[in-house]
Amino acid sequence: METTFPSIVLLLDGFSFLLAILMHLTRRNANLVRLYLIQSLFLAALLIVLGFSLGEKSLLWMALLTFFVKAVIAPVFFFRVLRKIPGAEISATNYLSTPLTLIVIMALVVLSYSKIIIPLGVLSPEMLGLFSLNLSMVLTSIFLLINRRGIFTQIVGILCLENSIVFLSTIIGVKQPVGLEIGMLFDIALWIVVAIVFISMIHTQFGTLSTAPLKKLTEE
Amino acid sequence: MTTLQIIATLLQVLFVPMASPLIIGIIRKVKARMQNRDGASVLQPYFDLLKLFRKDEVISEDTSFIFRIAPFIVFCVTIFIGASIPIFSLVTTYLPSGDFLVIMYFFVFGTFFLALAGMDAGSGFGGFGSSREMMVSALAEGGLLFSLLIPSVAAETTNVVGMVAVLQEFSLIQLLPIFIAFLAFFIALLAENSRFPVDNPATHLELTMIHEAMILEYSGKRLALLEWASANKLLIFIALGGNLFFPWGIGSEFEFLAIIFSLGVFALKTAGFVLAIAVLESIIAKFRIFRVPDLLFTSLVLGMIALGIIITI
Repeated sequence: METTFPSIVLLLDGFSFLLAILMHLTRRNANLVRLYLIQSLFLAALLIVLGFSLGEKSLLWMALLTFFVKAVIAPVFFFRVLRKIPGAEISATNYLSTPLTLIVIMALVVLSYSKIIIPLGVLSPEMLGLFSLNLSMVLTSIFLLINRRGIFTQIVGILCLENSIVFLSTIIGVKQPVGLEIGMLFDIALWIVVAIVFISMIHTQFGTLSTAPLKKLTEE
Repeated sequence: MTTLQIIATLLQVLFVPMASPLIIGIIRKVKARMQNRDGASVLQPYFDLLKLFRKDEVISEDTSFIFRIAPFIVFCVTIFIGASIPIFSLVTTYLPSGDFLVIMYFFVFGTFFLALAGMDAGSGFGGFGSSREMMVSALAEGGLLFSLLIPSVAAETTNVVGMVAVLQEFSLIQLLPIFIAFLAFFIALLAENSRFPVDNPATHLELTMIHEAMILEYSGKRLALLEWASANKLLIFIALGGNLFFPWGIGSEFEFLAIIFSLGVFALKTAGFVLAIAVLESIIAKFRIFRVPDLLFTSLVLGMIALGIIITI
């Protein structure tokens, strides 16, 4: 990846990774949305930096759309749901305690930087460090999905995972036609709306946003 | 040794004790402003120290010599460390005592005597204060050690001045693990200096106090020394945080203008820390004591993540 702003890219990437870790630590859903909002802003900034450094206008358009969908539409919808649903402010508990959660995150980071991923390093041989960092972010986001009992957290977790994948694909230089990228962002916007509807329905049906009562859906 | 070198060395030794009460005053002022109060003058901590130094003190008959000497040990430790760390110049402070392990364990030495002194009078408050302080100190030590280990591994030296000198040449890419380690360090800073969310430095409420419980039996001059040492410790942590993790703007030559410039940069970095601490203390509540280990464990793991990155990058 030829870029004149490697330091800025790395800082944006590094801070986004820290935000993914912080998402594991926060107990309040509003804070979770705020962290996702900041991460999305970093992603938009990353696309702008790369757009200018590589001279690709398509990346600038993507940055604008990313900002609109992930930093405007998604937080507005999420905050509206948090205001409407009583008790949605506090997230459901983790499966693992905070120390164990952090140990697992540490193991995932070590795994991403270990020799095991060297075969994957051919995707980005020049920026192996950044590749490992982004892989850590992806794994940490997946772990957020697994470790939380709350539906709301899982939805934000999926979006965080999507952000992480965009970070990773941007760093290793995977490019798609602009039309396809726009289509994906449209899908995400639509998915956010559908997820919000699901949250409301689940809360109406079960009176909680925890995944625990959903286990009873299985037939005996 | 030139006159400038002598002045710079003296300035280095005196800087921490002279400036530290001002830091406390500014933090209190910012907090007061955020609570829509005028607050006391930023110089109030100096007046408080003066007042305490003029007062007589009451010492319980049941106390041993530990109670009497602990304030002097704690204060001297902070002066010693303050003279050994990089503040505005890399030349005056290249001392063996600037080893980060020496610095860490001198702090532990001071904390040990403070905890002993807390228990020495035999009061319940001192006892639980010491017990809590030891718990927090033991848990914060891992985070502090790992956070300081990252710049040490990156710079391939354990001397803090040497670390700053090497890290100044690093690019932002190379500094990424250092920034992650900084988060770990900042959590340890809050815990070691009895700040929110670990402890409330303004409270004397039985249920919540940690540091204040240990020094509750002190009065007069010894209390002044302990309060002063506490302020010194905070400034030392700020100096370490500002210069190790953001190693720019420290002069490596003895020139008047370079020293003035370095002092200006240090003031800016300190202002950032002071503002961060004051804002944090204004917007978050103190954690329950049993949630504190989670926070300190986060510090430890962030340090370990940074270490994992730096040894594999």
